[in-house]
Amino acid sequence: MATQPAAYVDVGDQLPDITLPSLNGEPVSLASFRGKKHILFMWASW
Amino acid sequence: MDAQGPALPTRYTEKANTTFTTVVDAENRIGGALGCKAIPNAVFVDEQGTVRYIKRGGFDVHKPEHLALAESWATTPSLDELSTLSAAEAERVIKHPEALEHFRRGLTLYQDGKVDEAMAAWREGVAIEPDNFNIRKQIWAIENPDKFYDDKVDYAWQREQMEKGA
Repeated sequence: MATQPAAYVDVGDQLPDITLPSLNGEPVSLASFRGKKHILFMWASW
Repeated sequence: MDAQGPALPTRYTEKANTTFTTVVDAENRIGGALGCKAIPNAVFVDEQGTVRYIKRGGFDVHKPEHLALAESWATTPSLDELSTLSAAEAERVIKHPEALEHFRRGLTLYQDGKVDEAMAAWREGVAIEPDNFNIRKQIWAIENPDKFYDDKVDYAWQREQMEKGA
């Protein structure tokens, strides 16, 4: 673990502003949720 | 995290009538950025867009401890928010009028920098409404900031405190 570079976002870091399509195909930016506490839940149908 | 597009996840969101925004991360861009190697994951993000907690893998809202963690995050004011906690919000989370009064007095004292007196006021509130998680949490957050905002929300620790009536 000590040799693993912490190249990814961790606690204390800013959530990166990634834009992805919603289920209807409209672009949604993660930064658009700023100003409110929120929970990003990552799941899949499989 | 569906590589095949929105059709499959939409079946689930429609069945569950979800009200949250769902995006399709076919290339696992979010998971890649956050170092998540499996699913399901939960990431708690504060008002400023700062990540405050990550559960990588195994986050399941059917587990009472995970549901409680999410609810606690969503409903409890953080230490930084104490000074901006609205009257309406305090009334929503504190049922007993006297406990609410002690809670508010504690806030005023805390904002004046009188932390010890604020803690005493909150303890009076807890004495009236012992099961009020929100009043207790103000005390815990000041006494044990490491359990709250340092690395992760230590829910097991909070439950222990609740059980032993701290």
